[in-house]
Amino acid sequence: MIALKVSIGCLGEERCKLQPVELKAWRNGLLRELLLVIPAESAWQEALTQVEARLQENRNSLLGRGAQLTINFGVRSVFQAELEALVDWLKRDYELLTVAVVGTDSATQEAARKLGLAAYLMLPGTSLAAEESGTLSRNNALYVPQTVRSGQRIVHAGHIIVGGDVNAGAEVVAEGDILVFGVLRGLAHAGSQGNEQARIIAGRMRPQQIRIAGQIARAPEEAGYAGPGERLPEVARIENGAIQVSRV
Amino acid sequence: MSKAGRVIVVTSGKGGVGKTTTAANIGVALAALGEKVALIDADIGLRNLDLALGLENRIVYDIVDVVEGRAKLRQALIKDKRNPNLVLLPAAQTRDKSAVNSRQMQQVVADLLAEEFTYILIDCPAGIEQGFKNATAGATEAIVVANPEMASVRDADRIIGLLEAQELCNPMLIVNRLRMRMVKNQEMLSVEDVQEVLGNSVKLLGIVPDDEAIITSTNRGEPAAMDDGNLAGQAYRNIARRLRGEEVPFLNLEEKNGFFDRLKRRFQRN
Repeated sequence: MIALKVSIGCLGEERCKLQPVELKAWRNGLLRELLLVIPAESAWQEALTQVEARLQENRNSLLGRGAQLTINFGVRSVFQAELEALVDWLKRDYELLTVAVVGTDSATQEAARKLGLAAYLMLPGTSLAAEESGTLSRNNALYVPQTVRSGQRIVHAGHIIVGGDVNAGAEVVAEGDILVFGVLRGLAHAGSQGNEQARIIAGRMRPQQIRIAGQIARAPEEAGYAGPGERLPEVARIENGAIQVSRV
Repeated sequence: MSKAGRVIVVTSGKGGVGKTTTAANIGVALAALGEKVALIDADIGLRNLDLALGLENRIVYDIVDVVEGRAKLRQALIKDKRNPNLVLLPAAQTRDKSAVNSRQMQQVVADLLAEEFTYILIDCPAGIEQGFKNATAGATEAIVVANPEMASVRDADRIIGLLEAQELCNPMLIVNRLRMRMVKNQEMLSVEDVQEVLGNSVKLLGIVPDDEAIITSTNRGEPAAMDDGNLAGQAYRNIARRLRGEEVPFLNLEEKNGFFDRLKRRFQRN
């Protein structure tokens, strides 16, 4: 697995210019959303003060829109309580709905997931210089070591591996492949940014829906919920323009 | 040094699966075993726990009065008419779930623990919003009630995910309103089907059969666990014993052998 190139904050005596907090409009796929960039180096309280300043500056254009917001924390470690307080404050005072968090720190990812936010390792669709984003995706997997329960949503700009089930009502969205060791009962979307080579593999394929790139497919109707279906691992991929499921 | 009381929230996600009935019956059964039990109705605006216990005419103060300072906690607690070991803290009917927040709930629970109750059962409202957040705020353990049907299991799964996010791990499961005959005919999910979706981290605490006695008991305000003559009551009494650490085998919920069943089997053997 190739490690992501991330810049660590300034250490020691080296004087560095602290990056300011930024708030900007952003294209996320087809949606125009807001992106709040909180650099990892500044102290938490200082960063929050800057966030407030940025929001006040843009108050007129933001208010009353119910805009969707993504927060980019970079390498910063944010705990659930801090994140929850921030999300609530943004909603209460500025009517901004936080939908996603970008960050490479695992505690931040965990906190985002627990609050029901999408968690990206990096901004979706970014390509790092000197490397094709396609190659990077293939070598960068998010490992979820437990069952994904109904109502939970996992989003990742790479492959996703689930060491458990994906229950009905849960969503797993990957720019790369999706591998579910247990039973896939929910929604899996591989190649979410358009990669039609992406695949979905499941220990037992009983999904509500599978999506690869822009294609959608659902399981054939079974005789009642008690139908056993296939009991062996299966893989879904696009062949001849449509999603096909076959034995692994 | 007295043992700290256990604070258990009874939740489900889906409405109408039997949370209030379960909370009332387990409470009654625990009190009958000598525990000092406090039941909290967290369903503000749609209170039902008082009805299930037959105490609806004795409500003077409720949880909102306590939280807003119009009454002391002790004034709001209503002793059960049958067993003084059991008290109820009723919800308000004329307010809604925004009347109380999580911190206030935690304070109420802390005050009840100071009164040395050994079990505090919180009857959670349906849903995942403020009512759920309030009910789970003071709890350290959870019982998830599910009916053996798809919608209920789906919602129970969601609820368990939310409980885990709140560090309420290893919830216990009660499968309620099981009809053995339908399970045998593959017309209803079995307990194993439910456990398969909800996972191994959820311990099966009990299986309660669908029982007409529940309907009459709720209407009369006399929890079924008080009565020896019905299966549901027996199931709830067993659940109370299991909560206290006893190993109690699960009830045999097969239909009784009717005359025609035995006749049929006699002919099949030939």
